[in-house]
Amino acid sequence: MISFPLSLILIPYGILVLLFILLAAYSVHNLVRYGATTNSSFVATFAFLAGAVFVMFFTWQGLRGTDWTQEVTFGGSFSINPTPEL
Amino acid sequence: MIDLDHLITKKPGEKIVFQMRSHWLLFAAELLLLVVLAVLPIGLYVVFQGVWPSLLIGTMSKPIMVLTTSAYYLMLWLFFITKFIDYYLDVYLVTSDRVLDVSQKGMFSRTVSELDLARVQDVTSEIKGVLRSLLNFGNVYIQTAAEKERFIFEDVKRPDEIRKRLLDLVEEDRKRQGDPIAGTIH
Repeated sequence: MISFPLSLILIPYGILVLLFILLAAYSVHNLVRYGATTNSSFVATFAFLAGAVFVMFFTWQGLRGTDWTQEVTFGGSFSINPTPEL
Repeated sequence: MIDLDHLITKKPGEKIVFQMRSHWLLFAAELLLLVVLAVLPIGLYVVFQGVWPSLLIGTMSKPIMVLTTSAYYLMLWLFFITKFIDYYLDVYLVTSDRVLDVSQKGMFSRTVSELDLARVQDVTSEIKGVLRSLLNFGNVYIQTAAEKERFIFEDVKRPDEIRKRLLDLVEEDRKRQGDPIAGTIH
């Protein structure tokens, strides 16, 4: 039986967010360097950044109140929704 | 307008006469795919609500679902900006001295090809298909004397007009350089 704290799943997510930030920064840099003087470039950059903030905000909202100390258990049967003890 | 100084070393007095990129409809088609991919998790949410509702409210499954959905949308958003960069920085420039094809492939690959106006031998415009005929966009082929390979402006707006303007510029450039064959290009 394998079990690990739920907080462990934040590690791959954190890596992915870091990758996103790096690639997003590079993309915005590319747009600013080669074509920032137009409205469409500005609108696309703004929409991209606003969309990213929007996704992160809703992620934060969705994760509020999560107990990260819970254990995820893999065994004979995979359990991510343990039945509460009475 | 695209910043030419970051792409090439401009010759004295050289200026951008016009620039163009592929028709926005091609980018819109890719945006449509993005919209379909964005709606997909909403469809899955509706399905899960009916089939496996506990998955969406469980104390453990909910954060996993939220993080997975968030990761999906972040990747989708990167896909959007990559497609935009691919479209927006893929540009054809005509200066008073040469023709430039800046080809952006994804985030990390860019090819800049240039052709001196004096080497242009023949310019052909082509509008093929119903949609292209209706919206007046198509290809412009630039043939040079030395190379077999042609320079192609793909799916640009008003290709006939571009061909005429390009030929005028070639004529002007040849006259400026005192070329004896000026006036012979068609």
